[in-house]
Amino acid sequence: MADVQRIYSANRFDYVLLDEIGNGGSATVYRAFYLPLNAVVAVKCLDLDRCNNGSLENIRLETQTMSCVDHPNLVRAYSSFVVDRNLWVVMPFMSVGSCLHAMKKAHPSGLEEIEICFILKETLKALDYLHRQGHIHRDVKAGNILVDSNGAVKLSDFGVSACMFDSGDRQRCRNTFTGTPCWMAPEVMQAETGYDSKADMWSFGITALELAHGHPPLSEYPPLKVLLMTVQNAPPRLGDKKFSKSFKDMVAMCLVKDPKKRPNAGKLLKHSFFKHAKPPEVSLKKLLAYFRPPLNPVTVLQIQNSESAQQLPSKNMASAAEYEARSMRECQKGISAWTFDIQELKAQAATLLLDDDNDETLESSLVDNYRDGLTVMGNCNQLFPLKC
Amino acid sequence: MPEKSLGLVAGGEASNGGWMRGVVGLSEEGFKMMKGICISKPGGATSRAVAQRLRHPAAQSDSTPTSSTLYDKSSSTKMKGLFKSKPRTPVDIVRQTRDLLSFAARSSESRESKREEKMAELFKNLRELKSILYGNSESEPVSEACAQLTQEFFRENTLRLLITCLPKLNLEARKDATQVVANLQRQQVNSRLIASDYLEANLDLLDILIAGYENTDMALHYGAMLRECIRHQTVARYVLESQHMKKFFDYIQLPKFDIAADAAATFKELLTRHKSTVAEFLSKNYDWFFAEYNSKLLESSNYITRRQAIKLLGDILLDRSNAAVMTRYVSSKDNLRILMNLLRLFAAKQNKPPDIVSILVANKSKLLRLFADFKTNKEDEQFEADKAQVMREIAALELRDRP
Repeated sequence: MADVQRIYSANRFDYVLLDEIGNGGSATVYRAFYLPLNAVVAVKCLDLDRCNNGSLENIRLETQTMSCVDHPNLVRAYSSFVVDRNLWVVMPFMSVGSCLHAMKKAHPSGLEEIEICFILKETLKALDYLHRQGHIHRDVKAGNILVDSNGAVKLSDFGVSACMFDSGDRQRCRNTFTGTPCWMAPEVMQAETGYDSKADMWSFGITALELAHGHPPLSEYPPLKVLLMTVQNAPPRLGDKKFSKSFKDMVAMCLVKDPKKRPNAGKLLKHSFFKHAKPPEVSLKKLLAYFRPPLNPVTVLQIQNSESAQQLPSKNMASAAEYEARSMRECQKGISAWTFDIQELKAQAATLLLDDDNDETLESSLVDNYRDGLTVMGNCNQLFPLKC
Repeated sequence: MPEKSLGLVAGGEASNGGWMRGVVGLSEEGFKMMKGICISKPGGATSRAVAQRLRHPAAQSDSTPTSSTLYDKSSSTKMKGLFKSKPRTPVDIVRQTRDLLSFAARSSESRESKREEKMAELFKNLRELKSILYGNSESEPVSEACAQLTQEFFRENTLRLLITCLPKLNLEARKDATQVVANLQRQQVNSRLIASDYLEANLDLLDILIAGYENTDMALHYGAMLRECIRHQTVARYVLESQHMKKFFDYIQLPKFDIAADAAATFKELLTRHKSTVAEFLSKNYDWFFAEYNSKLLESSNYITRRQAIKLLGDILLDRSNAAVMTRYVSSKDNLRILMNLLRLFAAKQNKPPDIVSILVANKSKLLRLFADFKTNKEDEQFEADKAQVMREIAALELRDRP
């Protein structure tokens, strides 16, 4: 059994960081070159100074989960090690980037059904695997589904994933409030009921709508309103005439408010919609054509002068404008580290809805922030999203 | 499965008889239970699920060719009508797992194709054991089934076989096995943790688990099992008093973060869970333990190691049961110098994170007063220099230093 854990070293000097490909909160992701194998990888550099001791434990669990998954549709951690005050996590490099990024660039108003079908089927296989192991991903969305130049699809970001079997006890359900509002299942918002892996199935349904329309339902509203509307309103539907009946039916099965009535991932894989899935060279042909082939790693290495190669590339390497644009783009994914007081939140939501005059101004400022991506800090009293 | 392998799988004639008793025993229990439940809670969804599960203990698993062949061979036709899906009891699954593990342990003798088949069977059994202990998306675990499984598991050397065969399993089976072992540590049979009794009689298994940190492929699985095993006080005492304890100082600094962090988590568990055992260990082993702790962990070049070591040291010394150890620790000048060096690191760091600056600024006057009163009896230039530098850094701090 050739194990990636042994192939990739834990020596920082084996890795040459190239350009920054993502930035969110306390972590920056770089495209990097792994010298012993002549291979391009992605390296996530996590600033440990910005993590408290409690989150160190979460980082351990996330890294361990990532190094123990072995599924073609999940991003595995090849290696992880400490460099100065950062933790480097080595992962496969997915050249196209996230589905969200691909969609924004190639089809801002949504992908075609043939593309969606393939991407969703691959994602569903990953969820089936995770759920069978007792994990809940808790942050399924287009921004966390990565695609590479061959059309391989991998679900990433276990930052908020939880294990139902943590430390030997079966936990009936989780009741931590976590995820990103638009994709969040109603039972996750109603913290008192608790939730299980079916919460991912709701997010999966929302992701389907996101891929079909270019954005998830309710994305024009501020987070508080999204929470309220998800709990109170009827579930969103796929209505467009251009989509097939089986696609609409599949989405409707996921977006049922009662989690018990949602199918699990294994069952949903058998849905007729996924029988039509074509291989990536057919289904993603048009999408992949938008993205130029990956740079030849050798050329990249020559361009990159060896003097700065062993260092973290400094931010002024790319022009300030370019950096800004890239960082904005990545921020649109939305940073999702949510743990806060649900009661507080409900109280806030109530005042927001009661006070119509304030609603207007609050909403617009929140929407602006929301579009830039947002962070909500743990147990915060004021719910204004912070710019990242 | 071919007829030939039946003997091995079923573990011979005697085992067949036991297997039959298992089926009957469980089903009687199951029917009794079902009746009871129906009276108290007619038609409750949970009770139906429980009853169903007791009738089909290996619910969710397909009835394997092995079990059905076996069944036909050893049973009367009367029984056949009673159990349509020919379920295997938890006891059957444990027994079969044990047989397959013994096979895997001496596997090199047999042909490759047969081996693959048996390994696949073993992986499936492990998954079934996990499903009984944890339940699955459709059903909750049933305590009766868990108790039977646990009892059979520790009746013989299943745990030893599982631990020694773990490197021969594939990744998924290793994860399943780890979760099974973790769960079994908490299963009570007649209000006894029989896992603890078993481990007490088989303490050498801990040696295998601890040595796992030296094997990249096994470290996380053995590490997770180890952490569950040291929940038992006698097991924790064994590890604390063993020669292995010294090795943890190296394991914590292994280059691979996931493994090093796992060792650190186990180390922390060993030094915090069982208070009286820890206090006894620390007072007996004070000298070498803190010498290692200071030189290897607090003065490590690895940032995470230092940070976790400071946190753990605080937890240990501030625990009331370790009061004697604390008094001894804080009367050492060397210890003070090391901690001051650490404080100097915090104070001297450029671009200090805002929350660190706030803490230092908030405590500025107190810290400065404390340092000003700090005098050693003998002259010590190094100490004075360190002290002066820390004081300079702290005195210069203001809130506007926040980046």
